[in-house]
Amino acid sequence: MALLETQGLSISFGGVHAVQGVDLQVEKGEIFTIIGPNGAGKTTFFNLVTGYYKANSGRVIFKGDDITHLAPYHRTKKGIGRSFQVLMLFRDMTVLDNAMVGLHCRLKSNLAGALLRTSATVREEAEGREKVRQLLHFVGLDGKEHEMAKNLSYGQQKRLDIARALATDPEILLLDEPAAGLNTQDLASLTDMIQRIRDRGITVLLIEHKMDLVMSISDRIMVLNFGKKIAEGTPDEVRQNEAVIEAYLGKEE
Amino acid sequence: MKNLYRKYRTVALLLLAYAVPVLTRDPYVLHLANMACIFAILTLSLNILTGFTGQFSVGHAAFYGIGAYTSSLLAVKAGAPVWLGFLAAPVVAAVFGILLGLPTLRLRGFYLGVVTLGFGEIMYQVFVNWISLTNGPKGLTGVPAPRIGSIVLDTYGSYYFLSITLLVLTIVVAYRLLYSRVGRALLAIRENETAAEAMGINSTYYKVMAFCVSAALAGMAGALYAHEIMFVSPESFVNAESVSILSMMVVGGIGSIPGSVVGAITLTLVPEYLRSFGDLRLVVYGLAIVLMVIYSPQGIGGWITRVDQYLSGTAIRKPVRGGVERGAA
Repeated sequence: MALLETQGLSISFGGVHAVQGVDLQVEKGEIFTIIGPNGAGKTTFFNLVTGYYKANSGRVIFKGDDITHLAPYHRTKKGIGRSFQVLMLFRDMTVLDNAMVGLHCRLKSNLAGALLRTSATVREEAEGREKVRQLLHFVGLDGKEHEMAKNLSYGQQKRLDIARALATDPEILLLDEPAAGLNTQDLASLTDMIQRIRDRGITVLLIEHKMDLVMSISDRIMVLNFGKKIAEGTPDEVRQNEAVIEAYLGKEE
Repeated sequence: MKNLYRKYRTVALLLLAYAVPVLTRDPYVLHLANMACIFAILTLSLNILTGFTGQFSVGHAAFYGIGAYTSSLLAVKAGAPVWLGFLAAPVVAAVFGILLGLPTLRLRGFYLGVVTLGFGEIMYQVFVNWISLTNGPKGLTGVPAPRIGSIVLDTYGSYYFLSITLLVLTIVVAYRLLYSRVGRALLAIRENETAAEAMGINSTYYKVMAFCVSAALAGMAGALYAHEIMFVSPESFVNAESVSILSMMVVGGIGSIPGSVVGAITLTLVPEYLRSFGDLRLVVYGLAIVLMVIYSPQGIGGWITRVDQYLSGTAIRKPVRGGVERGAA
């Protein structure tokens, strides 16, 4: 059984068929990448999987459960983590608190626990901070815990975005163009980081434009164009696919 | 020195706060001290909703009034014990908070501002026009003073101990809320609701919770007010009062807990001490607020944090949360 599966997933905005009948199966433990020209519907597809858009038709199935109608926060709880193409950090909160927010759905303390400051709450907070520190170390943000998120460099903000998503303890992590705008050095550490994330047992679903990155780390690739799946396969298969070459380079007359 | 400061700052502040009735016996000053506590509670309650969660409210006096009328009516018409009124006021106000919070979930910023403004006006009209219950514009007289054992809190000085205790309680609530999983969720919603949802935060639930907690505290302030002046009338809960609370929060610093307290104290006392300006009093008051917002957008809370960091030697470690532009929008 696939970890994440979509069946005939479709959505239109006005007359634009942004995503049309996309079938996808992501297996546990793989790095699966979605590529396609600008406007192909990649981010829209992510928003359908994470629940930010409601599909017009089709289904999203996660671990065998139909989650098509679940709210975004509920999907996160189920184990679907995501990062954002346009950074959406909590800018006026510290790095530590940003990551602690990611832990939200794995902690239990409620309003009463917070106001009474019960021993369970205090213990949970301490354990949470320890867990989050490890994640910040994992993405290479040691020593930045008390910085405001907005004061980090762009590359660091991107890493915090990933740490925050990892804190939600996902089984599958959706990364939307994590390499966009990174310099060569940050790019190398990102490539390494994605592999280390997979090594932690987390399945990675990636949207990316940087082809060398995509070809070097992906197990499988799906190509979208005008909202439709035009190809799927290993990097080598996709590279030689005529429909893909046509979509990217245009048709030879 | 720095360790000394860090160790004793809270105790020193508490001692000072509780010593007010010892330092002065002037009933007028003590009445102002009570009012400062009441407005500090109101400002903190608004800050939880607006400063922490980013939900704008311009009708906070409505919850204040609901609390005041709840406890007054229970005491005057039903003859219930005063303390029951103090418990019922926040509960009833919280129910109204939920009722207002639910339909306004999709609203933010100015839109939410207008709806809460409307809610404030509706409640005012209810207080004025539901004469059989509220006695209308004439107000309710004979609201009793609370008693603890054989001690009746019927002087401004004795009542002050109740006021300051409830204020301290509110401050503790605000701090514990802010530095918890719940508080982080509220801040996350203020900062970016889309991302908050992606972190598994049910933003609907937490926004309604913020309305509920905020309204409950404002309702408690209402009860505290009613039993202090032993009289309630609709005039105390007009929209101008909501604007006063809003000003106290902005001058104090949106999102800042010490700022809320100092902002409320300042804006309660300053108009009184400006009486020597005669008719120009409110002009000077308004001008002071305008200058404050322009030249110190982080409010008094920003200064307090900086001084506190300097004195305790923790500079840069924990900057003020939130800024004016994000908190309000």
